[in-house]
Amino acid sequence: MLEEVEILLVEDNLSDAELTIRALNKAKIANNILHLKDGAEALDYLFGKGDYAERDLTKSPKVILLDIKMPKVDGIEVLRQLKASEHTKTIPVVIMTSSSEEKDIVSSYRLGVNSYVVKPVGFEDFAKAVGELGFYWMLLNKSINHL
Amino acid sequence: MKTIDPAYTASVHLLKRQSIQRKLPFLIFILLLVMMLAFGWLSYIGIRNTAEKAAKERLLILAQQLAGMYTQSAVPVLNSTRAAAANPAVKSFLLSAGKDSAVEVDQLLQKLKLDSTWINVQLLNANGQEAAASNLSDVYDSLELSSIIPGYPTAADTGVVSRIYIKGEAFYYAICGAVTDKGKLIGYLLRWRKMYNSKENIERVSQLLGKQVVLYVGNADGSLWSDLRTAVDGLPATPGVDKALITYKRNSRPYLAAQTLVHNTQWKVMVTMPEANMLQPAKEFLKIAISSALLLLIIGIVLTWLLSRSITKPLDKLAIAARRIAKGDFSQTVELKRADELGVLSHAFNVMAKEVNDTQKNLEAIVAKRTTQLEQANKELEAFSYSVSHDLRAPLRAVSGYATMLREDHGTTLNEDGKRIADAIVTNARMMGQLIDDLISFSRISKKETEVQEVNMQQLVEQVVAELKAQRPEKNYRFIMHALPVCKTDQLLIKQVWLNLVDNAMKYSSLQDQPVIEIGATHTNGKVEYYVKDNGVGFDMKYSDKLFGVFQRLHRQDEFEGTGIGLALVKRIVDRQNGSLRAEGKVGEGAVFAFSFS
Repeated sequence: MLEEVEILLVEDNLSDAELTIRALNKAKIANNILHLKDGAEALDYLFGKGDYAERDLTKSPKVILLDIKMPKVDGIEVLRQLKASEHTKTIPVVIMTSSSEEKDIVSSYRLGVNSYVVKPVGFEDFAKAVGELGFYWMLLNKSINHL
Repeated sequence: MKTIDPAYTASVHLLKRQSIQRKLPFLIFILLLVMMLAFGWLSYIGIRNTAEKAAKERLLILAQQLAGMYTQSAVPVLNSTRAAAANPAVKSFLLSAGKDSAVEVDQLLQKLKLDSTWINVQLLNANGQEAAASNLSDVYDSLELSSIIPGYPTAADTGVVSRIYIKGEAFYYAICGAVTDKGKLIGYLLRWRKMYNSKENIERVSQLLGKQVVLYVGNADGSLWSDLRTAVDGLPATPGVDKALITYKRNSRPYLAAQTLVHNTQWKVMVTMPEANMLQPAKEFLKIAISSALLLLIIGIVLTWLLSRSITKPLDKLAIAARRIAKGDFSQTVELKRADELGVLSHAFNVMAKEVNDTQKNLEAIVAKRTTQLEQANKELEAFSYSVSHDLRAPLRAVSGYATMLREDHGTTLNEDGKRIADAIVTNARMMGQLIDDLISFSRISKKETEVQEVNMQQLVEQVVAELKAQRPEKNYRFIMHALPVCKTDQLLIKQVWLNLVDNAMKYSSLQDQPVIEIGATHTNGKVEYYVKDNGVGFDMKYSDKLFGVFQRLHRQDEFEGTGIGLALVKRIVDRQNGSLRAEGKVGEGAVFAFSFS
């Protein structure tokens, strides 16, 4: 926990989480992945509340991989709060979802999501998609921070 | 009335096009007019005939009465003249050629001049020469005796009044008596008299005769007519006419006249009347008839207008209310306050309006309830498909993922059969994922609202073919493209149709050495049918009914991959746009899929 979190993965499905982490590993961008299991936990982490009240808020993850369909607080709500807050709105967010439901895509983009990826069923495709996205946004975020 | 379709109006009979309010008074007007014309004309004819008959009778009677009066008034004068002619002194005077009884004769002649109208009394011998006279000067010497005495010189009894002569401004006539001795004519006694009619007499006569009726007295031979004052020219002579009606024109005006001879005289009386005057009563009747007919017509029109208004006004009210109901305002009622047929109609209308209103409200309630239910069902369905797309895919992803992990992480410890099984798990998981995707897109397309616009089919198909060719680069397909007409349809949906049909054609012809796909359109009876034809494996027409069912396939998965959604989707799209879809095929000889929109 002392190390800086580079990738924040918010995913309630443990299998998906494992597959995502494996995909990131394969793409060799698996440094400091933090996996949170629902939206409420993610908000606590990002805004330093509850279990994460002690966290240093000046350090933000370089990219957030966010699942939409989660119990308690869903991904859209997390995204809304993230983008509404001055201090978190610059963090790139990639929505990862099983569905290509139009209303999800529309509301995500309206809230300012940076990328949107439909998780393919086949693992090869899935790993490819996750790897490319994570890589792209981490690099981009680095360059922003360096500016 | 104002909202009826003009074409319909033009198709109905002229009379039935007009408003009742105008039609009824018009018809009544025509009816009254015809009736009045008929009655008026008949009455006029009757009255005219009667008036004519009455006028003619009156003229005849007047003429006869006047002639009778003259005859009557002549009788005493004639008698006294005859008596004087039979006087023995006269006879002896004439027989003695003026030698005997000259004094007695002179006295007699003077006596015969009864008053100042008697201007001379002459005694003539058989030769017509004057033997004696009451006055010396005689202005009648120039007259032929034959013109004064009818039958001269042979007439035995000449007790007659002569013709009338005019001299200066005065009229004269002679009363003539024959003097005979033992049956032999020996002379004549002539009493000359001036015709005198006092103003009062003339006025009395004209009053008796009436307006415009004029009495003329003249000679029976027509040589003279007088109106009792002066001679009148231009009247018909008509000698010999007695007790008869004649007509003549004077100053180009037609007259009716009755002429009667005056007995014991050479006179004739004539009573005349302008024909126009004779028809005067009929004309007056006509005037009264026309003015009263006009009055009646006006009253009739006003009354029928009021009556028809009292019919059409409530009908208009009903029509307005009915039109409002037709527009959806069901609260309409019509209160007419009458108990006749219209009252019954309005009551029935109100009952009907209430019934419709109630039914409408009921229907609205039912529709609202059904709509809510439908919306609920739709929401549930949406939630269901959303949940299917998320929740069904997640475990599949896990199955596929873990099977892959098994092969990657434990490939060394797995034997060939184990590896084959892991591969089968991955393949089937992907397959199921495809099924889920297709199913979701199928339900989504069914829900999508269509936006009809003009679609350039040519361009669209070229784009579709290019996309699909790129997906199957391994095979060299030959496309035969014909010209495609534009089509009014939904751009996105029709693209899906082309995608599925062309993709199918490519898929099922992929095993040919030279796959050929033909795309075109046929025109029959103004209807355009688009088709996609391939030379692929085709199908047995026996199973054609299974072609368009969801998840129905005619080939095994190991022959041609697929989920059985594509053609079902095409069918659904074409059906939704009221189009028709058909398929023809033969095993090993290819297939044709064609669709058209009505």
